[in-house]
Amino acid sequence: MPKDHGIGASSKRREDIRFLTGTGNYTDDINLRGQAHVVFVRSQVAHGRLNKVDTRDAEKMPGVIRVFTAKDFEGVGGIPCGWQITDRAGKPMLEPKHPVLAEG
Amino acid sequence: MTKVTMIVNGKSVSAETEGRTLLVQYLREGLGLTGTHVGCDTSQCGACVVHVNGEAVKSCTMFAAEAEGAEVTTIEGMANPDGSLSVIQQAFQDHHGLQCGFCTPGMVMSAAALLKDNPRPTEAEVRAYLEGNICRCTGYHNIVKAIMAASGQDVAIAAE
Repeated sequence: MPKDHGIGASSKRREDIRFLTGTGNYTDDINLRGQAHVVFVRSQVAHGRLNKVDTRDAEKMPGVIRVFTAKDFEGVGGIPCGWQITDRAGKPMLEPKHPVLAEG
Repeated sequence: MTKVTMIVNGKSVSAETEGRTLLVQYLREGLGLTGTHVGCDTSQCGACVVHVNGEAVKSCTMFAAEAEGAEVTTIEGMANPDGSLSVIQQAFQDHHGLQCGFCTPGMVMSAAALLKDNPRPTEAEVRAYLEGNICRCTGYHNIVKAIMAASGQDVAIAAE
């Protein structure tokens, strides 16, 4: 039997009420006047090499505020590993890059 | 653009829609009823379940125009008239049947449809009925418990 008071007792979550009544207000539910929207352009091939990104046509589209590419995020990103380990041969662990947007 | 009129949560409403407008867009964007969620856009996740003339429907699989004149119930219409949680909603809270809450509106609407047709389902029937509702907090166990409790049955289910 679960305890009904003290340490170890289960407690009712206060946030449940809004989730259960449809008033959660998730990011997709927010719609403010003049709100901008973001669209991520993903690779159309499963495995390839990114040679260049040409944003000229996209920038000319009506309503487009700004097109971002990896260049806008130089020096940003990466997920540092707290505990670098070595393999059996003593070689350092390979750390994959985690850029904000795809680099060439 | 055509005007589509229906009854949503007991109120007659109408909004201008395109022929391609989905029922879920009509509810969320046209009426601002954002409790009905779009989880996948491909009719798999069940976060958008509403009732149309008493039947559970994934509102992303139906055009708004198809619901012309229909009676639609969304999660916003599930609480008791005094604002307190309905039996099903209360059971979800009591049995921790939700974490992030994103799938919850669809879960509650599916549960309500199930219990309307089958007031005392077995655990297996509950699990089978929820086939079309995906929870990514892996909360099915407590969701099943909540629905069993809402049907007035013992919640000490075998799978625990």
